[in-house]
Amino acid sequence: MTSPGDVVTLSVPAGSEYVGLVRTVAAGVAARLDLDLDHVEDMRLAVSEACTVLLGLAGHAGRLEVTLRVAEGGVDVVVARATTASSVLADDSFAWTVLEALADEVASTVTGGVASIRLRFGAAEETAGTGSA
Amino acid sequence: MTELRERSRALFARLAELAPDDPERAAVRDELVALHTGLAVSTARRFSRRGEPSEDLEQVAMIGLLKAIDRFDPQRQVEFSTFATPTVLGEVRRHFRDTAWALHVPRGLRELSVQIGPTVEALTAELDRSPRPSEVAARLGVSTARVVEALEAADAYATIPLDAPLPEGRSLADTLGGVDAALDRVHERAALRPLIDALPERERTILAMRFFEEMSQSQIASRVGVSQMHVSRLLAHTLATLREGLADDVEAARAVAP
Repeated sequence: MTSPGDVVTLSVPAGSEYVGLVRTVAAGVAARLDLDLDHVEDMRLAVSEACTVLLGLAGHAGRLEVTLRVAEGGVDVVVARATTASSVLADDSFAWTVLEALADEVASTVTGGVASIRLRFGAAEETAGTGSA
Repeated sequence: MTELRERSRALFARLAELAPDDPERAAVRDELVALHTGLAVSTARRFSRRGEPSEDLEQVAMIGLLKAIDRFDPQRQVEFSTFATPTVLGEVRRHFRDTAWALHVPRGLRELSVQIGPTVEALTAELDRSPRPSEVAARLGVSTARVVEALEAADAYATIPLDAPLPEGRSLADTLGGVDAALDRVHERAALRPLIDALPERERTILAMRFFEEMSQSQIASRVGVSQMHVSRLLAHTLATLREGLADDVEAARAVAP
C-alpha cells in the first residue's frame, strides 16, 4: 500500500492539541507499510513523545513540520520546529531513554534556529535521505 | 391504477380548496398518505440491501412522501407519483449521506476491530512476535487496507478502560527491581522517582519492561496478561502522566527561583 520513496509531510500548528493528529498519521503510515503491530504502536508513542519534546522548547508558537519517509521495510521520521533554544534533548534525559527504546535510531539537532528530532524505525537507513522524492 | 390516480387528483383538488387552518386538511392528507404509501415503501426497498434496517428506511421514505404531498401543486400538469418519486428518493439519499454513512461504515469497522484483537493475540502466540497488518488480514480473509482502517477505528473508539484489572495470579514483583538501576542513567531521576513510585503497580511494571528492560509491547502483553493494544494505551497514558509531573516540577522550580 505504501512504497519505498514515498514521502508524507504534515504541517500543524505547534500546539499539543495537534499531537494526536500527528500520532495518528504516523501510525497510519506505519500500518500501511505493513510493519508489525509492535512497531506501529512504538512509532505512535515515539512520534508523540518527539512532538511533545519539541513543543516544550522555548520559541514562538510556529508550526510542527513532520516528514515521514518510507524506506524498504522501515520509515524515517523527522519532526521539526523553530526554536530559540540551543539544544533539544540531553541524552541522559528520560525522554531520550523513551525515544531510544521505541525507535531504532534517534538523533536530534538544532540548526539555524530549527530544532529537529529524527527517528528511524525498521530498516529505514537503506534508502532514507537519498532524496528520492 | 387509474382509480388511484383519480382519487389522488380529487384529494389534491380538495386540499387546494381548503384554508390552511381547516381541520379537514388533516383527514385529506392522511388519505393521500395512505394512497401513496406503496410508492414510499417501494422506493425504500430499492435501498434496503445497503444494510440499513428496512423499517428505518420506510420511515425516511414516508417523510419524503409527506414533504412531496405538502409541496405538490395540482395546477401543474404532472402526476403526483412523477413529482413525488424524486422527492422521496432525495430524502432516502440524504438519510444515507447524513446518518447511514456515519453509522454504517464504522459499524462494519467496529465489528472488524472486535475480531482483530483475538486474531492479533493468536498470531502473536503463533509467530512469537506481533503480526503485520497483512498477516491479520490474511487470517481474517479481508484486505490489508480494511485491517489498517479498523486499527485506526479501534484507536479512535478505544473501548478498553485504562483501569481494567490485571488477571489474577500474576506476580509482577520480580520485574520491579530493574527500575532503580535503569533510572540511574536518567538525570531527572530525582524528579521522576516520586512520579514513578506514585504510578499504579501495573503501569510502573509496564513502563519498566518497555523502557528499561526493552521488552517489546507483545512480550509485555503476554507477560502481564493484557492485549498488546492495551499495553500501548497504558504506556501512552503513563508517559503523559510523567510528562505532566515533570512539567509541574519545572514550574515549581521556576516559581522558587525566579
